[in-house]
Amino acid sequence: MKDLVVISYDDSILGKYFEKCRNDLETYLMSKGLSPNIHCMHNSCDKASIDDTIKTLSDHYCVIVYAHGSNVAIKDQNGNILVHENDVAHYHNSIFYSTACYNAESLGSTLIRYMSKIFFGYKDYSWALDSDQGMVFIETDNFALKKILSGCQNGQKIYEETYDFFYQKYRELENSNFELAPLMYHNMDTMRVYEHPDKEYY
Amino acid sequence: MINIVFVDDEYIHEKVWHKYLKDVDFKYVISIYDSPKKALEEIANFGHNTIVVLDMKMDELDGDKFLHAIREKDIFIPVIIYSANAMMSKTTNLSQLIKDNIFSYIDKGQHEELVKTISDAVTMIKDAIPLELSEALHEFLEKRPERKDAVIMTKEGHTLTFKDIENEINKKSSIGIGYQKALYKMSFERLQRQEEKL
Repeated sequence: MKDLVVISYDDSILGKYFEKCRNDLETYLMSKGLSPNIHCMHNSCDKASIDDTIKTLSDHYCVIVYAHGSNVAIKDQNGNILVHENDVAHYHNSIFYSTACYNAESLGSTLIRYMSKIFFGYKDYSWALDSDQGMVFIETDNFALKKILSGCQNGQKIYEETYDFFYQKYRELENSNFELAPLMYHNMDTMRVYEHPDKEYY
Repeated sequence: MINIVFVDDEYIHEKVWHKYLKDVDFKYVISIYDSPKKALEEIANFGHNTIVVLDMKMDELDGDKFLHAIREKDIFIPVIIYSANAMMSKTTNLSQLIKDNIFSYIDKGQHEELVKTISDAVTMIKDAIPLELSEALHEFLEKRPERKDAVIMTKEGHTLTFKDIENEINKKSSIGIGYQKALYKMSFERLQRQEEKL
């Protein structure tokens, strides 16, 4: 993977969680000796600056979203649109990885129609925790991304292995922190991976 | 309180069933639907402490299709097939019934066996599914009070604690319904695990 565009928006509460997700990603890249160009669209970015960055990239890039979402859009903490399904043609050839809520409901399939190679997202709202117990949610949120960055090129395989990982973590929570297990189960149940049938990722 | 829902387009005599069920050790309410389509519309309103007693051959909608439809709606409650020659119909898709997790099947007329099976289903519900979800969560949090104020968040931007979850469930908000649905599915998945062990 040549370029990573990390769209990460901090706010008073989820900001810490998003930051931990970014740190987890960076730690992973370092541990694997991967050094893609990282375009970190952090805090002050808006739709125009993201679009400008995306338009400089043609292939071998992954858009990673740690922000809020709806079924059709990615939003900042004030509800401003950062990515909207009515304007995603320039995301062709992207791998689009969103941990935001609801994006798999419509935005994900629209991106695939506009020739994104693969999309990861959640079809419903998704849960996060900003506490010691929350690390497991970061692990599951980033699991499929790590599979993609490690070179896995099979969407079905990515989905199945990610589902298995969610399931393993849900079972662990069931025994250790029962009240959190339904949150993990919900995330597992609503997680989706879409891939374009004619694309290869690398 | 257990809801026993009969879905059968032939006449069901409620008083007779109260007589058959007089010795069971749980409280129950009987509801009877002679229209499976109407039952399908309303079954989600009954909650997780519900057992369906289902006929197979019905003019409006066959039992296997009814069962499949409620699983499609993510309703994971025990369904007992109670039908003449329950599994013998040529049109019955056995593998689909198994995939859709029938709890058991009883030939119509074997009412003692049906009462025993209903009691088994109630036991499994009690073991695996908290009858009153908010109570179960409340009990859990009483045991671990430090978890009551643990902050959980949706990436939609909602921030709440587990104390709030109880309210969300009672309000039937999307978050409450989502938490409850996940718990139903977990419970059902636990049942399947138990059955696999057996």
